[in-house]
Amino acid sequence: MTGRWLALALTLLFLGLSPAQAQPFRVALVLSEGGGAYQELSAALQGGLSSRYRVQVAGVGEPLPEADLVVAVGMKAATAAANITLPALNVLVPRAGFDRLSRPASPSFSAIYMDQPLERQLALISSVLPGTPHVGVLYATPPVELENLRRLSAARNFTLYEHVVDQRHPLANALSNLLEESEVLLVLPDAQVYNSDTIRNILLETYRKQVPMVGLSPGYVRAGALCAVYSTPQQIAKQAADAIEQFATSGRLPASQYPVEFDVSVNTQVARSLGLVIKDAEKLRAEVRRRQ
Amino acid sequence: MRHGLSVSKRLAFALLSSICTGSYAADEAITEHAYLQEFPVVLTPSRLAQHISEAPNAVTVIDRQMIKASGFRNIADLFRLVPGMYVGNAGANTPFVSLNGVSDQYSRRMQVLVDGRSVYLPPFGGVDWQDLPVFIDDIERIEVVRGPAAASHGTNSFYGVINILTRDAASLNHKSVTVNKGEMGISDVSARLGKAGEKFDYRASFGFRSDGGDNPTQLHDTSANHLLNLRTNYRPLLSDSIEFQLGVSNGVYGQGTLGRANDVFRDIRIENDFQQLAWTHSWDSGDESKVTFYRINRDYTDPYKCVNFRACGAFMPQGFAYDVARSQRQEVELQNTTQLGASNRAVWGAGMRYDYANQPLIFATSHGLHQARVFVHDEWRATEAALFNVGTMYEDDGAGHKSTSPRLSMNYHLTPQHTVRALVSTATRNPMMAELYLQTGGERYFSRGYTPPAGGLRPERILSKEVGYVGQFGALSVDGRVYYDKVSDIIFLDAYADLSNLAAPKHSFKNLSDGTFKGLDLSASYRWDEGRVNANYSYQKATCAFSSYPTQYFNPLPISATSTLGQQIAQQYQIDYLNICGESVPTHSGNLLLEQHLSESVMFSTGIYLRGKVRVTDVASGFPPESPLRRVDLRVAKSFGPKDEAGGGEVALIVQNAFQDNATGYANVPQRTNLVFKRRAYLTATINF
Repeated sequence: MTGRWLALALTLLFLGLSPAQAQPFRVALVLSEGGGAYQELSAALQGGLSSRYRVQVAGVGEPLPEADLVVAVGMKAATAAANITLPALNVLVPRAGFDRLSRPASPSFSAIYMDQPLERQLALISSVLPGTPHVGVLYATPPVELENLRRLSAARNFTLYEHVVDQRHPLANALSNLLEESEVLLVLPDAQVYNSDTIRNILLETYRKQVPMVGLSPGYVRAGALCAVYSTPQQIAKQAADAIEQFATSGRLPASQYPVEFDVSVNTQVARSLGLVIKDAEKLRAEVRRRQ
Repeated sequence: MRHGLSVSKRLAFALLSSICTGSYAADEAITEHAYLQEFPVVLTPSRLAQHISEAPNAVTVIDRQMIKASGFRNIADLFRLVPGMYVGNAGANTPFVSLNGVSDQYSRRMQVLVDGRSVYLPPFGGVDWQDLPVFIDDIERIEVVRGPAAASHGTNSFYGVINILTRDAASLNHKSVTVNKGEMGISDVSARLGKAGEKFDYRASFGFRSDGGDNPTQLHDTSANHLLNLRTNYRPLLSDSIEFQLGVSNGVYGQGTLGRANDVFRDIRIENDFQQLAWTHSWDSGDESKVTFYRINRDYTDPYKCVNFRACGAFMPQGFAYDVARSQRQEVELQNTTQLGASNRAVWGAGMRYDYANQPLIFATSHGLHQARVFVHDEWRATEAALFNVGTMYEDDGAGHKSTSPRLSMNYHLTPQHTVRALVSTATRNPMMAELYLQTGGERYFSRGYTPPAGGLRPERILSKEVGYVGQFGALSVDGRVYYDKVSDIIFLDAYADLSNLAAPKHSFKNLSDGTFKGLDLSASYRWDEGRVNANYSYQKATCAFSSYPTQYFNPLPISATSTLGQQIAQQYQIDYLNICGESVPTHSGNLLLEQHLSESVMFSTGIYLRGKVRVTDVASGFPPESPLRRVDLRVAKSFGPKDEAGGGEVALIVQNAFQDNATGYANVPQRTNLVFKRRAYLTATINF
């Protein structure tokens, strides 16, 4: 008899203590595209959130599920999220893209950028190349962080060479001239310069001039870049899960931020062919973490 | 299946980017696609050259910048920048290049490749540098392998390999005109244009080159030729690339020596052309296959070849004849690069070649040889510090000779900056058509007639052993080696082969002697912000000995009270072959190329070329060897406007042999013995538009 009362009391106490169990926190995960990194991030995020959170996945253009928070994955989804009033966390978005959205950043509209902080990329250059190399960058659109890049390069005593690609300076010329003065080519996220149609000639030219390329992703490294620092969808998902939990408890998203966790990828064959002695990816990651 | 998928993805992306034009393009530039896009593997294992510290052989690289800084107008001259390499001139329009000893003006013991195309040609096996349809300005880089490298570079990689790589089809994205004008009749004009596109690139060069020769009064060694060179690259898929090249050189080259009735002043016409098609496929695994086909055709016409020395001496028309030669090569090659696990990379494949030559004055009939080879080369990284290069080539020369040429080397990185290398390498030189099939009556090519080799010819073999070191001390790179090369069955033109008529013994090609070449090469290069210097030194020693004495040695016929014919012949062999072999390399030689920016737009460079005396083997003992050389070339260049863009360009003044060193050159007849390479200056101007 006592046991039955006790069980009832415990049940009531449990229900009373966890009201959320009855009313889960609803996350609408909006994917710009299916498959690939979008799918990987979606799976990792769903796996990383506790059962307190109910995640519903939708594509851009599909009806938005009812939600307490929208997580927009990619620029297309972020653009859509900028046009509604619901709180939204944007992931897999480059900083330059996010900054241009019509909705200003706020505690209810924030991002985990896709880009790596410049400090981290420059730290990688310091770790793979001796001394203070001449760093070359190419762009068609001046990068948002150009001033920052100049400042940080100067702080490391790197000489920065910038060349613009435009009608008067076609890619091949701009690249050829840049590589004359550069000891490393740092890729900036500019799809007009770096895309699947241009990458071949760019990489061949860098190799001819024996100038290593520091890429943006493992894809660049597979293609022939010397190395890249990047965050995996899983690492970004983990950071997103933390931000969602923070929003669920405080009602405020953390300020827009760069990825915290990252990996380094290295093309050892390219390194050997260029006669560069570089550490393995794991050691480089530790060193970049220390140096950035 | 996977290919189909990658195509449709690519199409979708192409469609997307073609929609996103104009103002939209700026937005396209800042999506996540910059990070997520997939790329083809561009720097495939086969594209990635072994670093110099991991290569099995000693390699000298001459890059674009050095080519420019040297001020040389002719490709052959560039090899003056290689330690121990000999560059000779049998007239300004007949340069020849060799490594190691016992070379003559048909220098035929090297593999010479231009973009993978083997350009030493039958029937003599040399390279006619002046009529190669390649502009010096279109060369991106030259790799000279010093030592036998048949396993990796194919047939005839005997003393070494000259591997010329021209500028990629995508390397040029403007139009330019270059004019050279200077003393000694130097007058060149060339134009180039090109475009790098998304799927298709091309570059084209055409022009005219001429000069008045080195010693216009004593020698008729002028040259004037038209050249055209085209290179295109088409990429229908991310995984495939098709490259087409063609070139034509059409020229007139002076020939003749003042005062020699059998070498009158006349003009030789040479047309040399090639076409080359290569298809490269990258497999999903990152491995790569490449099929190359090319053909070369060279037509040579000497309208006044002396075929009867007495009649020529009397200026009788019947002394002269047309000497017409056609040389052809067609080759197809399959080469695969395969990554075998993490520590092995293999290059393997096969090639088939058809060589053809017809030259009625020296052959009874035209000759064709079907040659075949298979090769495999493996780079095995046994530990992080130890790298082995193991490979071999098996070849059939189509003339009854089959051979295997293995190579083994170990490179050991003492530290990442310091590497020691040990190498054992072999190669075979199959006899050239002229050596095999020469059949020339009367005095057409040799004043005393010719008799084909009795019992045929064996291939020459080389066994090379070397120990090398490659080191990096900050901005200073050092490279050195000591080597010991043993060459057996060297084929000479034996002047005493047929003694049936003692008054006029006939010539014959013959496996006459063995040679030993040993030496030391040292190279250093140092860079600083405004310049760099490359320096090389080489010590060489050559000796030859008979493996078995020629039977003529033992001819008991008494020719005087104290000596037999055999004794006299033995003495002649000693003087004409064994002694000359020892003189066929310079004991000491060296070179230095310094480049220094004097200001943002002014560049100074100087090349210093030093060489001890040397005698190539067709300069008989009665003539002096080439005297020691101390040549200094200077170049000052001023660039203007935007580099490699419309409105930009460069003007340069080059002075060759600036301090008038009077070293004498190749002289195989009395009239040539005191000829020197005179100081000359020329201006070069390039403008882009």
